[in-house]
Amino acid sequence: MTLKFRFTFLAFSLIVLFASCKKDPGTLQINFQAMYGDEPIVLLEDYTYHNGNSIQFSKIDFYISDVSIVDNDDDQLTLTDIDFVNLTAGHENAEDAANGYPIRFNDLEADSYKSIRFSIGVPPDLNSKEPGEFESSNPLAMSSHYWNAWSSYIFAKTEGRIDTLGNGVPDLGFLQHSGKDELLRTFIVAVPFNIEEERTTEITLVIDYEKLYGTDSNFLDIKAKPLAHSPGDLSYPTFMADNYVNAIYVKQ
Amino acid sequence: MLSSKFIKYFTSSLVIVLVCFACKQDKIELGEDLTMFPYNPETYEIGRPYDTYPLVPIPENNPMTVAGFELGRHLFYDPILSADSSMSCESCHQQAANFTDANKAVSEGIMGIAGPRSSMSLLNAGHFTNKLFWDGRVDLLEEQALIPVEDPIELNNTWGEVIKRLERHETYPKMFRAAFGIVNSKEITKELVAKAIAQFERALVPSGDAEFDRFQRGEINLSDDAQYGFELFFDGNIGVKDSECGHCHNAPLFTTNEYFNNGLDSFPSLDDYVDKGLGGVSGKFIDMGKFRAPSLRNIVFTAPFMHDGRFETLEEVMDHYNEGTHQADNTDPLIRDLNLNQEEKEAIIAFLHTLTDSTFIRDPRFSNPF
Repeated sequence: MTLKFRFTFLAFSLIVLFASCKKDPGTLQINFQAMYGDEPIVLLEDYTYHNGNSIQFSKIDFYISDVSIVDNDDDQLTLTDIDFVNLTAGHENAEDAANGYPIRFNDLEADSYKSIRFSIGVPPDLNSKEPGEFESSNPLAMSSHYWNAWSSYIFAKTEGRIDTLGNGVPDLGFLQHSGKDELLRTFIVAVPFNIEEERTTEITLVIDYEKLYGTDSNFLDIKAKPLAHSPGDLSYPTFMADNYVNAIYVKQ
Repeated sequence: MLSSKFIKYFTSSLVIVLVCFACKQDKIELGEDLTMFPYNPETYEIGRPYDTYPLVPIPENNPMTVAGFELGRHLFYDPILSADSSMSCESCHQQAANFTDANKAVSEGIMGIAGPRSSMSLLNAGHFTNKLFWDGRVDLLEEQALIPVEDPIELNNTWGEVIKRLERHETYPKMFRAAFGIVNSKEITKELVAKAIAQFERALVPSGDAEFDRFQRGEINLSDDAQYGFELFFDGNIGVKDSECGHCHNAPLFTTNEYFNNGLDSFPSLDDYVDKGLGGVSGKFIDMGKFRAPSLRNIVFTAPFMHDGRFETLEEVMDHYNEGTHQADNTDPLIRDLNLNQEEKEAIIAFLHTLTDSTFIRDPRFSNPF
């Protein structure tokens, strides 16, 4: 009896010892934040567009795909093949807008990393499918982000209202929807960070929508084409897709 | 394929009903052991019109079974749920009207009091993955089914009373046993009632016989008018005007399950909306005056239209979107006067008629079992 008790105690102690030595993985949280210049975007708040008139936003979102992190040995760790960045939900008020829209990646091995790689849009192998081919929990199951006429997912939506009369009142609704394989854009953001055991590392990636629309000398004339979502004319969505590289940066 | 499913379903249902009614003479005492009655759950298969049509998501805690569906169907049509046993779910969701309240702008409960909104169609209810009701006030069908029983302007009953009636009923305890494996009638709960009704509602999917579905399967061509309407609806032809319909009513469900301000009313501020819709539930300024975009499948059976039934005909709906919209800060950017001519409006209505699924509204699997 005593021997049995000793054995049980020893076994229990070993289990506790091993359990306590087990290294818990870490978490990376990427906060996507929509800014307009220096200000976090709050939906339905007014900002000053490149032409000096008011602009406000009511919906901002996009797909990200093939998200990975690269360590100092250039080994790449894939985090997800697809996810949906719902900046509309993350920017409904000033408090939310200050934090952006978080996406968490759990169970990551502790290591030092030097960059994040991701695409905005849906890669061709997934873009050839339709929402009905995915389970309802998959972000690609949203029919709101699939456009039959394009046979493509809508990679990004930016919607709002703009002042066309110069009186400070945004009076005209606008939208830019991007889609089709050729508008997929891939980015490598250099940012050194560590994943530590049992800890969450946060990185905030800013998308500056003022820069997405161009510069004060070369910007989209939204009034001239308020609805940019036609498969026959992708000029505005292409302009914006090409400007991501100027508009995305890591918040310090 | 549908025929073999139908035969399988019909046979299984018949067995369940026969088992329940064969024992009709054996009065069950309250709290009596029910294990003498069978509990052999058989999966209820929900079909779909074609391969890229989404599968109905099934919650893990309420798998579809033939017995669960059949119980839900009985409960759906049974006035036992209402305080004076005069109304059932079906009273406001009639199969012949695509499970809406035929020709009524808003529905009335047992007290004769009119509710504020039009009865929503239950076709494809299992696909309502972004909350339910016009204002998105609940997440799941299992939650939705709990509400009308105690709503004073609907069935005006109490769950305590409903459960008491079901426990003492000569048939229902056996049906709950067959559906959920309970061992005595005291285990009947409002949650099980809601689960059964949710199973019935989740099964309400299109038959696949609508012209549009046959067109999607490559079996037929659309008429010239309907084809033109299809192109206008989906902006599928660069040379054709974009009527913007498909953005909120995208195929194959003909809804994106989103909530929109579609320009029905004009108020000085979003806070002034009398019926705040989604905003009344979420409390968010940007949601004021937004309502769920309903599916347009079987739209011809669901008049009058909009959340408050303000439009009697599809022509009135087209006129609203064509020339009668109002702007507010959160009005969807696509809501603006469309400048469609008469031929274009008629073509879109012709296309909407291709979504008519008469087989669904006559399907005996979904009809009144009493």
